Amino acid sequence: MAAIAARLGEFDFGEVIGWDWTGILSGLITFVVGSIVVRIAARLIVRGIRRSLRDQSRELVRKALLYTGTAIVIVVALNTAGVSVAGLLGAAGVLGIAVGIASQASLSNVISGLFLVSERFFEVGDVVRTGTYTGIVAGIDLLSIKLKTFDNVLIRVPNQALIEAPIVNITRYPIRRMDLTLTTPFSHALGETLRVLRSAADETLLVLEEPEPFVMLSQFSERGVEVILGVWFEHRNYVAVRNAVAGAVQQAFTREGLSFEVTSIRVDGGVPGEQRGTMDENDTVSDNE
Amino acid sequence: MGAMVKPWFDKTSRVVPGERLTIGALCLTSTVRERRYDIVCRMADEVHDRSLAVREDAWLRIAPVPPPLPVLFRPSSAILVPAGESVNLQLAVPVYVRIEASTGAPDPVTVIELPTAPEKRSWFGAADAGEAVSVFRPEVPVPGGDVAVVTTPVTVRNASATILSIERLVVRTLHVPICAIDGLLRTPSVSVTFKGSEQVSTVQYGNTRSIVARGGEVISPERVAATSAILRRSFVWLKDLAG
Repeated sequence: MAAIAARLGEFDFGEVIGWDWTGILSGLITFVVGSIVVRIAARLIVRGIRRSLRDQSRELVRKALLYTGTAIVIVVALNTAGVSVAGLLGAAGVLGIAVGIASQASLSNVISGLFLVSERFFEVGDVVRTGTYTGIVAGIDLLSIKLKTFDNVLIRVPNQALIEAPIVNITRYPIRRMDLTLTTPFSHALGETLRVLRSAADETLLVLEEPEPFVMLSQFSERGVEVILGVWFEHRNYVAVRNAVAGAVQQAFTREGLSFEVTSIRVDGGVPGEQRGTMDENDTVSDNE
Repeated sequence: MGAMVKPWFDKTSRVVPGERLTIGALCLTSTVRERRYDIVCRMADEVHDRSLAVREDAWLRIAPVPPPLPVLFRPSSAILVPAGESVNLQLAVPVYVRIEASTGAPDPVTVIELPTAPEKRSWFGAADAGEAVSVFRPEVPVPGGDVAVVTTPVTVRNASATILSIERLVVRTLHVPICAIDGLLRTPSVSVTFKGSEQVSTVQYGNTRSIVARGGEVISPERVAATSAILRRSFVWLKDLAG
């Protein structure tokens, strides 16, 4: 055994295989140390600019620094290991074209992502609606955004789809308006109906006094007189206000001996003075947020 | 001569279990049973109750604190202030009550905070960038009841070249401490200098020195110190003062 060990010790494996073990070891050390340095540098840079950038921009900068730095570290490490980088870069150029052609959709998503981030239409934590999806923006990445729906489902929406589709930012403004459309019988005096509706809004504590609630006649229909009660509220009180207003209206009408039929409840995210385009005329609640 | 009854907001006052206490529109009752405090607070139809496991030597205290949101005042008719003139207002702000319990730690813990008057929300400023404020009803305190309001003296000086019409006024009571003097609650004065609708107004929050010098005592510190950042933000909204 001792003789075998002695013979093995005499072998220079690097010479046998033809590798420069010292160079490979240096390359590995360069890669490990370089990767750590890149991570630390990226973290320090992001920390330095954290006040001037929003969350998603900061994450994009961090990733860009990380990927670029890692690519440089790999090239330097290969060079240290004695691998000809010039040849690799040439091959990488050809490979890059091939990958580029094969990943057009991904590149399109990346570019769309950059536009979305620069546009600043929404940010992490906002509630947005796009197509049939409504949810809280859980993350904005290079390729897609992640939406967390209210029933706890995570949806990935490609950035390219977002660029082409309308997006509604529901929580962009701190207050919103809710319109409750009711139909009352022709036998009820219109003035009395409007007065009762307004008092119901005034009694609801979470309904904002300013901008003022409004009541107005919408139209005369076959079923009766359609009237609208519009109330403003802080968007975080959405559910509470919706329930409270409906309850207050019901209570006020019962108290006054009046009857009504709910035509629709609609919530817009507009600003004062904005004109509503269309009115829902469904028999059921039309807003499903 | 009977012992003088301490007001509810006295720093050394303690909640007596079984006693019913009414402060403004808020009614509080507490019971103690086997190292457990049960506290029930009622205002109109609203009921808030808390149960608290405590030590044998534990106590409960009620402290007046400023409302957590800025308070909006709307005079019944606009107050007109000619250029170069000033107006002094004594604003009655319904206090919040904070129920504190001793737990053995150096500072008592807050069990609950509630308003002493029905509170409604409103909005001050633009709909896309304003801020939530509180509106209290009734805005005028009922004389003869328990002290449930803190008086904030506000001086508005019109340093602009035009008449200032005060239709709404937001007072950031969360930046002022509450003091007790002569059995009443009051805050240091607030001075607002209006420089025109295109310029930001300046706000100065007084300190408690003058109140303490007259025998008053600081009952509750301000919720939020009026730092320069907060003041700057206040100035921006005060552009809407004439609003």
